[in-house]
Amino acid sequence: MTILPPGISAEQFASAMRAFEAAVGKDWVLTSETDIAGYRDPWSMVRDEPGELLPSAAVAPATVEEVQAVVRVANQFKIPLYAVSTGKNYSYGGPAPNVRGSVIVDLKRMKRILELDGERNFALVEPGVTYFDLYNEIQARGLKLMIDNPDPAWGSPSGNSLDRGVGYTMGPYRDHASSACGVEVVLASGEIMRTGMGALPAAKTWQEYKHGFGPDPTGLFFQGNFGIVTKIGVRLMPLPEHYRTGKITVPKRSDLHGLIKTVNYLADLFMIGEPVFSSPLHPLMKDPEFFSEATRQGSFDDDRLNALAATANLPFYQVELQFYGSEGTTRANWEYAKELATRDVPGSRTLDGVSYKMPLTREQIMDKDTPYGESAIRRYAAVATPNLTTFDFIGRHVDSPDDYVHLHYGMFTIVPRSAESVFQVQRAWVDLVHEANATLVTEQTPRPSALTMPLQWHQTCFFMWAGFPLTITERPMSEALADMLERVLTVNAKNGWGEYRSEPLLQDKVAAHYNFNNHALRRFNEALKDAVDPNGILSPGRGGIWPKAFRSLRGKVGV
Amino acid sequence: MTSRRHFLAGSIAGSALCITSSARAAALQATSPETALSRLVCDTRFAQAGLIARNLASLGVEVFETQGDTTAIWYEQIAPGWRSGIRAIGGLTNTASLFTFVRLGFDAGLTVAFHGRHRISVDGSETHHAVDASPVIECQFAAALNSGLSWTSALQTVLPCAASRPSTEGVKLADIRAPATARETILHSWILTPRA
Repeated sequence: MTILPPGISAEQFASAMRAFEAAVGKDWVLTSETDIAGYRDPWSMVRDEPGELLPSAAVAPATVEEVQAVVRVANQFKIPLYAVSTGKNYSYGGPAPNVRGSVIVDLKRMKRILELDGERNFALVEPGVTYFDLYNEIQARGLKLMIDNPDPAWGSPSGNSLDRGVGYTMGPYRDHASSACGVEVVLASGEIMRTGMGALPAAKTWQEYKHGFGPDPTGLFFQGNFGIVTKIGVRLMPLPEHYRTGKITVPKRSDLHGLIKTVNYLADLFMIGEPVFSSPLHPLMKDPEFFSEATRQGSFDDDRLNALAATANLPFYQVELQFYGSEGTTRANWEYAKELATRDVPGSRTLDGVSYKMPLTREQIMDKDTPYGESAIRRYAAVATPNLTTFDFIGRHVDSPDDYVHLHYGMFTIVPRSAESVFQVQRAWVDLVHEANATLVTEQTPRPSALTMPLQWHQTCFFMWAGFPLTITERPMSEALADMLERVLTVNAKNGWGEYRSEPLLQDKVAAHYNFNNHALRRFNEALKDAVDPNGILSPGRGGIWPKAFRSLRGKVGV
Repeated sequence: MTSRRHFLAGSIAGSALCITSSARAAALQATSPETALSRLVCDTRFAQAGLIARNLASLGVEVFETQGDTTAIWYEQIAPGWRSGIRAIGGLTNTASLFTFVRLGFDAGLTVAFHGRHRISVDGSETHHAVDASPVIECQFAAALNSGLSWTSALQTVLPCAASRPSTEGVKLADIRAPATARETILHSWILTPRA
């Protein structure tokens, strides 16, 4: 089946392909069905349907000059492009474009590590450099640096940063967009631009001072469609000498207030890495009474829930803290955390975790048995060892480990760092599931409940996540999933909670809620888009930003 | 010069690769079952996978054992071995490993030439098989089963054959998400061959 870009005839498309071949070489223009199959979203909610976000072709430039040439061809033929670095963030649609029929600009061949500084702690990389590549190069050079990889690590620092992805080490590093420092982009005109100190040709601080002088448009290229990023600076954490963990537990639901307040304090003093909140009560969800109480519509009976936890002799909530530094400083920071917990979190208990010299051995990384039981910390990520172990558990059905459930089944919702907010989200989402008809939801553990806990991937806010999981073996379930996620978005927006990221299929829906003052932000972005990309060829629709040429497609993605 | 079909092979090996033979040529060189399938990933949590892997190993197939995490197998063992050209690779794994190998394989110039889903009851007494492959291979598998061979023997027979053919269209992984019930598990058998 031949897929064509919108408004492009087969003859025009064939001419464009010849022009792309002239730009990057015939071998690097991919048009066969087998080739295109690799650019599908494997979990698309509209898979095999007419609206599936399939590309028409892919081109794979190897140099900045070839990227420029590709952009010029796209302008000539008014063909929408969709640039990906490795295209492997399958939880967010993988390489699937916003506009069906787009030509994928696959940047995997651009994989030079241009700078890697182990004293000033940064790298400058091309988009095809993966976390594995960067890690291996650091090891090969014997540098005392850490990457901060998401899981899985087959993605790229460029792509993950540009999509505002996260890692799992210290706050300033695990917010990948914030730790990016300086980009080079090919604009829609085909011109090359550098941001920050990169605009000063002789500057040696491109990866050390991100702002440059005057307005800094770097943010336009994150979750945006204003250019194709061909180089990006990445701040890197020095390899600490030591890694330590510790756990604080609390017996009652209301104790979460003090626990979060304490963790916020430690986090903002940069004394801890990613705090991992969880509830030890998840196994009780198999008990009908506990399940009923933890997913009760309207309100939770905290006294009853606390009593059930006490009967099971389990704490209600817990947080695992991670410390980086020397053996002495990590010990001192953990001792201080224990002191704060004892003082400010009544009823709390503290348990020493692991204490390892860095770098950890493979056995230490994969050992999930800590002195206090199995850890929720994904240690390979916490100590920045690239791997693909995520796929051994993510999206798997709790009662059927060999079954993948839908990977687009949840949202990561930005909420304030407070227990009050956590409880509000729990309440809203539990009610939402009831109102939507619970038969839609599988019994996978992370369904919304009184156990739904925040993630502190970004330093300064919480993400709340729960599965609204539906298997998609049957097509109607896919439709039900879309319906469910739209309900989540609506409830979230009503409460002032927004999503930090989404796959193309949902980006219009997410963006629609960021509508202060009659969509002033969107109108500003689209005015810029029309000015710098008059043909609208660069990733139209990405981030909910539609250029004039494709604006009629707003709200029709996947239809 | 790195060829089109190997461009991620460069990334996974972490350095520029010099591959001179084309994927088509490499695949066509694999003309006999004995030489076509030289590497097999085996999830040893499946007893049946272990059995097949042992038998294939005795025929000279290099077996990489896993219990879930395939990171080291791909990045440290298989990908570096492709410096002299990509070759077919097979697997007897869970869904997760199939998923990662298909994606990594695609970027290395491979596509799915064979995919079998083997639903196995927890006690091993019942199995159900669904195979997507070329018609010839599908017929071979069906014939082997009908001849009275055990399904593991039948599979052991057809996997090398599937690996011996260059793939022109590939197999769609339509049912990669097919759910298992609580009383069964799914073993995936697969062959990735160079895209023709």
